Amino acid sequence: MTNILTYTFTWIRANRFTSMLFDKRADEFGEKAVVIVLVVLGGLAAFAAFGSAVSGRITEAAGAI
Amino acid sequence: MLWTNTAFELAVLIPILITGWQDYRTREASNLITIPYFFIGVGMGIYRYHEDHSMWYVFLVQGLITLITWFNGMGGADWKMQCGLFGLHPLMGLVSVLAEGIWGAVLLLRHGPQARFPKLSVMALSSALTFLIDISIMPSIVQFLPGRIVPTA
Repeated sequence: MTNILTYTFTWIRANRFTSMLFDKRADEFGEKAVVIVLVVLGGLAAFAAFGSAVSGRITEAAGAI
Repeated sequence: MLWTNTAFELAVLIPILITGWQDYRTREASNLITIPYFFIGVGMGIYRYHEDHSMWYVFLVQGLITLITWFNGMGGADWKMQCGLFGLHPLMGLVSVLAEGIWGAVLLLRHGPQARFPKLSVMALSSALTFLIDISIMPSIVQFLPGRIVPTA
């Protein structure tokens, strides 16, 4: 039982997703905030421009299968 | 605007205001609020997509933010609240990302690259502003300004 618990807690600490989930930090560098807004807006613009073509190809491929 | 919409927006806003205050005081936010908010937001994003397929951008932004956080681009509490907010209220999410970018740019220009700011506080301020504009009579007034096309029906 102890081994299972130790293993579980070690896995939680080592796993990137769970460490993100339990992270409480909330301060931010100014430059990172600028990069984030650029990435988000760029991603939205790219998907708005090419998203329909990509989803069309996926639908075609799914139809062919 | 229906009172149910206002109640829903208030329910979305209150946890952000609490974590914004926590962030302002301690530069940390409680997991008791952020973790449930994250999962409810992701669930709500899935529901929104199920109801209306044009809401695909909620997943896109949540994915991008997760990727950025994975490579240490953002604090964990920021990530959870941002993802949750995008799922629960996409407009507030977009406005808060823009506000954080502008705040970050001003901070970068004034204090250099090592300056930090409480991101959840900026998110709380921008979301509260969005909420106030949403419940105010502003949209009704703007519609009747000269030069606007007023629907006749």
